[in-house]
Amino acid sequence: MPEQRKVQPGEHLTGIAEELGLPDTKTILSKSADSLSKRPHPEMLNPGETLTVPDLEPLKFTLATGKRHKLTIQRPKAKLRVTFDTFQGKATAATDAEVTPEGKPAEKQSLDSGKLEMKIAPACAQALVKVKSPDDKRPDVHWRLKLGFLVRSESDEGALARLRNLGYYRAVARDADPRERRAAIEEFQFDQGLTLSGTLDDDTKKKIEEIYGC
Amino acid sequence: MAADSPAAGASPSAGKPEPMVIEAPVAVTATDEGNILAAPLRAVASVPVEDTRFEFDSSFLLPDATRSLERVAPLHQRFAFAPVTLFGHADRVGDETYNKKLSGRRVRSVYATLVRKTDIWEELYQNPLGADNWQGRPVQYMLELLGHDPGPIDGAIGDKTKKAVKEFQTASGLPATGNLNPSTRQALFAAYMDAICTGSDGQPFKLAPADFLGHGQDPDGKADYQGCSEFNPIFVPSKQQEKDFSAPSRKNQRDYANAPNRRVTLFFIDPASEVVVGDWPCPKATEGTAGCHKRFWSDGDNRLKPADLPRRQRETHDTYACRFYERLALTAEPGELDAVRPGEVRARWSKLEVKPVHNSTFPPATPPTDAIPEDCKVELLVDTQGVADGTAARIEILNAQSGAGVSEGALDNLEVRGDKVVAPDTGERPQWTFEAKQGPWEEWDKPLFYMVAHVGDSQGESPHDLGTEEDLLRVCPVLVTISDAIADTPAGGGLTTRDEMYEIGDIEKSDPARGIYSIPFNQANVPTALWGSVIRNSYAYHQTSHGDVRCRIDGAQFKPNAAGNAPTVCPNDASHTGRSVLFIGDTPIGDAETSDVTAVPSVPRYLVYINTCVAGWEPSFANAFLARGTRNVIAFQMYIPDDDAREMARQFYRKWTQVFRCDPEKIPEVFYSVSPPFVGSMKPVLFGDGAAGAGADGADVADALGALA
Repeated sequence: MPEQRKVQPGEHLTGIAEELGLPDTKTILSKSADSLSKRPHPEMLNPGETLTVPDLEPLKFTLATGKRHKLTIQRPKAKLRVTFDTFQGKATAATDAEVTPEGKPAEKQSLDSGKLEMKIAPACAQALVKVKSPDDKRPDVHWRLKLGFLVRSESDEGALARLRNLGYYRAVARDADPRERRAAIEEFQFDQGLTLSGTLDDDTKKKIEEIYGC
Repeated sequence: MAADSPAAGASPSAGKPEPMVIEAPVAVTATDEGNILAAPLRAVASVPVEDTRFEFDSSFLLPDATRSLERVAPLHQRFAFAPVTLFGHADRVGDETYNKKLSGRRVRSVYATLVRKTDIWEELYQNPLGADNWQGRPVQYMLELLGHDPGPIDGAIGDKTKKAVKEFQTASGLPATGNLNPSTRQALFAAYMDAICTGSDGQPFKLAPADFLGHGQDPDGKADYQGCSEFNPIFVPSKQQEKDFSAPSRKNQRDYANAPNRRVTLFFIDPASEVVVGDWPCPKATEGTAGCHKRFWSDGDNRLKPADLPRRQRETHDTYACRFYERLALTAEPGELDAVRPGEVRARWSKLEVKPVHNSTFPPATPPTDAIPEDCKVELLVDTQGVADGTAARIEILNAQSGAGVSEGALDNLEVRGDKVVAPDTGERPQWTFEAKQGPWEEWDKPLFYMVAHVGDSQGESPHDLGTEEDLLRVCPVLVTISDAIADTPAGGGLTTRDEMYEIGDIEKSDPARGIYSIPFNQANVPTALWGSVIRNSYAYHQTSHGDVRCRIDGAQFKPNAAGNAPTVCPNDASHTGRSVLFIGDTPIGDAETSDVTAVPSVPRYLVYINTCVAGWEPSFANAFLARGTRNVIAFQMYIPDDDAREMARQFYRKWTQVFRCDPEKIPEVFYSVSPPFVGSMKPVLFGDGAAGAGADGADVADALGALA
């Protein structure tokens, strides 16, 4: 029987595939009874949604006896892809960053037009990225990234989190300020040539997803 | 949950600023999902340079601008790496293109002062815009502040002003020509900027162009400073007010109500906010309004239109038309407080400005009530953590300058309930109101207070850092102007007392923290108690109406003497004595009313200026104020021509409130400096400290006291 699994905060498809011992996410996508594969970004799961994990058949190998065999187990590969911008949508002037994934040593990364792409353990839930300011009068920015915690953009929560990541507004604690939220939405709508409504209508959410990258 | 680090931009030590820490949820991917992260735009602090720091309808910064500008230095020290950007604002009177220019001129005026660019001031001087003309009164203000008396500040460059220019030239090592030539102007501008733009130590303070957001790269100040035209008012009148103000005779009233909208605001931007100067959305101070409209809220045009009720940004959050400005401004608002730690006693005021007690709301209730209006009350917020209910508590209120407790300024017998200090009888936070005896509230000496809370064996103090003035309670000096509105006649047709009252109120309001109450009385009969409730605990009081001399025996109006310029004789009996009074409606107010301690709980502390006919004819009225503690009274012995009366009042208040910040010691000096041209037509009289021959050229004015009686 397929297993019903309730998605926990921070979970993403690659992480689940790894936990299940799968080589990648394809098995879940192809065998899931859900419409996961129809989603534009099936990687992203919302906490609380139910995922149908298909029954997995054991892999069978026919191997000759009396010989040594080398079996390579494929594991899912996860990546962190981030572009560091200014709040005005231009690439940051910063060129150097230091990334510390949870439980790992820090590693230096260079940013090309603000872009950072690196492999990450699928189970890694946190990473600290220190973006070095090239200007002594400007501070470094320390990003405490919560990996996999970005929820899908159809929800207001997901759309607002993206606007915040894009620099349209400030801290989590301030999400409750309706003026700041509305300013963020209208500024985004203005920047993208959408009709100014101040609300998260479907067109706006779709555009947020497109601009943000998922 | 961790949020943006509160200290971003702060730099306790030298070197690079502290990092900004931002927590962000991101997507992980096996394929192509990407994330974009950008540090948000935010301000870490702001300083308003209010309209009242500017000469009326002008971009010239008055001497009183010091009080705004001296707040910049401590913030610049605290947020050393935070770049500065300035926004100028105009009110909605006039069209938006003109207002864009005017707001641009104001913001350039402030920018020039901060970085000492006298060439910007020279450009403003050379090119007047409408009423914004630097070639008259501004020159006189500058000379006056620098210690060279230019005579009346009336915009007419006469002999006295030229003499002051000569004095300044000599003092500055320039040829003493008396002509305000370019090199003299440059020296005058520079000296004046140094005088008004100081740190809290009183020493000249300036910023470098590189301290600004655009780094001073653009000759027109892109991102360094910009004008918002009329698009971001902090007050939008109601439809009814707008209609009332549209009459030409109500121009002064309209300008008075709009004063808060004319201002310049300085923002310190978080240095972690990475700004690409070319992408900064605001048009330059010299550009038109098209770029502004693009950034309007979707309902921006409606926000600027009067609605059924008057609106204030602070309360209704719907008067800024520009989304970008509001976004920036709201990030500079103070955030929530951290939790109180065990053992800590945290003391704060519920607000930072409070008026001394007046008995009535404004406009005054008839009859006056005993209810104390909200603007007089401040709550004392004392919080604890883990302290047992019922623990005894006591709060003392102290003057922040001297550290001395204020008279009768302690609240005993308080107790802790639910980690709050409350009054046991109400269970609510204790409240405090200020009375005259808890003064003095000298304007120039910053009437700032803090509190010490004793809870059990612990104690806590509200902040009292005089360097930043943050979280100190300021008792706003209340200046009252009263007119007898039923004596009003249209402008140009004799008395226009209400209009004059608003004009004086506008001049007095050179410090926005001053409470200015301008009260037009419409009643024919005004109870003495109503008058008393209006002037109670006030700092200064200006009256515009009729004045008279009345018989002490039968109340009859005294007849003028043969010359027709003073009342001398009772029509019923020449042996009757008279008394000086002012009139509100049909009610005479003089010595007996002033002495009535029940109806008039306290009199104005420093000045009573009775701008009426003959109320200074004999001294009983003035003496009644002096006997109760008012420092000075100004009145007139003759029937006064309206134009002269208004002009002398303007001259007096421009110097006293704007140049000398209502310093009571300066009242005689200012009186004797502005009154001489009016001796012949009005016989101005000064009563009280420094009067009677204390000043050189006006001595006969005071000496004439009683001579006509």
